[in-house]
Amino acid sequence: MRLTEYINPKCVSVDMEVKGKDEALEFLVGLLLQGGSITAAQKKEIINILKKREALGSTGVGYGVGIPHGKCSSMDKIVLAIAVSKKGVDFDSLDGKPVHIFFLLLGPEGTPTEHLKALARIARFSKDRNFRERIVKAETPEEILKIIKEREDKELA
Amino acid sequence: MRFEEGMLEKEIRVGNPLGLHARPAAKFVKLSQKLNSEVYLEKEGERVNGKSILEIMMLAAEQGDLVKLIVDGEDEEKGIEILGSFLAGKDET
Repeated sequence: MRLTEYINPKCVSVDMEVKGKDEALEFLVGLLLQGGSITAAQKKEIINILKKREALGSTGVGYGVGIPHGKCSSMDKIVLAIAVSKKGVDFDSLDGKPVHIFFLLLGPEGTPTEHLKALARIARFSKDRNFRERIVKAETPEEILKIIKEREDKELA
Repeated sequence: MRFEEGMLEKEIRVGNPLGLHARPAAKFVKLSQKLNSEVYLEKEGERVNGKSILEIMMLAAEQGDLVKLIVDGEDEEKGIEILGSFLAGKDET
């Protein structure tokens, strides 16, 4: 499994400008639509799934990172959207701090292992301060992909 | 300085069908943060801080996986009981 296989550069944004959780989720799912990973009909359904999850506990896990995630029966594979907010977004994080890096992970029902492994890897990378700093400073989606690829190469070496 | 009286450890199979990812992990962290003791979780030799959701997510523990719960401190007995039954349970809320 490689995170980079789940990422379409069109689903990566280095200059997200939103206010609050609802707008952030809307923006992230919008990236998937823009990249052709989901259909317009799926967008609403997915946003509802994510909002329900957030209501049960924020996926703002601290360190300025948010990992909203969910499963949607109408999807056929795992996809990942990434957005960076230079200003930070109030996301009701566990440590109360604004979120600068969002990883939205979505997958079909019935792939618990792959889904969990992907989440675990995102969590592991997010703990790495150097990784976070490089992601926040990235100026293009390609640069973000490159940082993730390098980190993943190191992880799997 | 108080003498180290050891700590409590318990091996538990994860009961939650969702595994121990963000949502059940968040609940675990909420419970562990209420304790005055240190809390750790271990899977396949990797030990993480049980009060950090990000670290717990790193374990990618699925239903049926064997994890070791370690609680060390003044309320370790209460901790091992509460956290142990949460880990073994099937709470999906």
